Amino acid sequence: MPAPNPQYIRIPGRVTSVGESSRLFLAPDHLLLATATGFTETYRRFYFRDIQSITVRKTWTGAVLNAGLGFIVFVLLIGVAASSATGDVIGWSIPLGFFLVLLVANVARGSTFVCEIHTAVQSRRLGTSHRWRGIRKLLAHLRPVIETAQGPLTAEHLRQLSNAALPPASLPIAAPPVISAPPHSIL
Amino acid sequence: MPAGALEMIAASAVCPQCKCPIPAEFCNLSEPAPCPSCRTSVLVQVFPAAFHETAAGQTAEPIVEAGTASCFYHQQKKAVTHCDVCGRFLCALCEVDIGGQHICPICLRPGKKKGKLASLDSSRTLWDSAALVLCLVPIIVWPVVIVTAPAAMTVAILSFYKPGSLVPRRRWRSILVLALSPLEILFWVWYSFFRPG
Repeated sequence: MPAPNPQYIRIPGRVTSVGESSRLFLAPDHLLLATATGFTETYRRFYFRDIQSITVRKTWTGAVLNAGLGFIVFVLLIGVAASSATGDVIGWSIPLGFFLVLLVANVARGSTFVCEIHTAVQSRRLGTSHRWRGIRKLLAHLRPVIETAQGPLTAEHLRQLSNAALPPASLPIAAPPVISAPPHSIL
Repeated sequence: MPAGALEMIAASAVCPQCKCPIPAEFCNLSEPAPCPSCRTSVLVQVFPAAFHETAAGQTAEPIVEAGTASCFYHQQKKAVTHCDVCGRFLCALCEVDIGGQHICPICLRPGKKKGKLASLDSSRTLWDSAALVLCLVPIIVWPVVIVTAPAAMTVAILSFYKPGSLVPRRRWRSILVLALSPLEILFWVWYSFFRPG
């Protein structure tokens, strides 16, 4: 059965968590989420014509990591300050430098976000945690291809659609029917 | 504007944190904005598919005229196409469209099983990764290397013939295993039989 592999183009960035790593690839007509767990790679396809929305949510992961690293750095700083011997200062400074680099790197990378993709039949999280830079790159890759498949939908257009669908404010809202009979008589 | 468009916006554009509908003015912005309900910073991109109504599935037409080609699997149904693999006539119910190919359900199953229909694959085994682990990890438990090194070589060779990852992936793992495993075997033989002292 001839079914050639679509040419996948990798979207930069890899999202890793305990025991698995996820990468995203673009095919001519779909987005492929490849998740490697051990010796198996599982795939999820999202066809551009079916993608209804992409949501991004800020998470506390980055802040919690900052707090944890900040606490470790603080403890190590106290250790350095309390040491008098040169050997002790060096002994405290090495882990201090290591955790300080991690803290600075985490602060520099910014907040963490979770990205989800929604179709009519499924909602799927794209990896566990992204930074805003990665999200921007991801959207910059996805938006044009989805708009090519579905057509553009600007914020202004969306607002117009929403306003058109709203019921006129003057129309009275019908009250729900009052059930006078006791519940046990209905059941 | 299809009926119930607002409901459709609400269904597709909800806050991922509190699951409340996001108003249209908060959608398709370039930067995250706080959700009106939970104040979580969210970015919602809505696409036109959110407003499309789901198309109804096809139904097979019954044969009304004598001499009309019928479906191989449903004799009473009108054939609309033929299977691109086996050539059997198919009705609208039996036809499966995969990447522009029309395939019958009977041909679909072995194609999926053997990994020939890449567009249907939902998982693949990474034989090269398995070979690499089989080659490197047993070094910790040295005596077993004489068993695991040939096994790793076998898996590495197998990885060239088995369907690998769907996505682009270099073959360096298999090549590394094929280079390392003979060395492991040679070293094991030397260490076990010819080691001085």
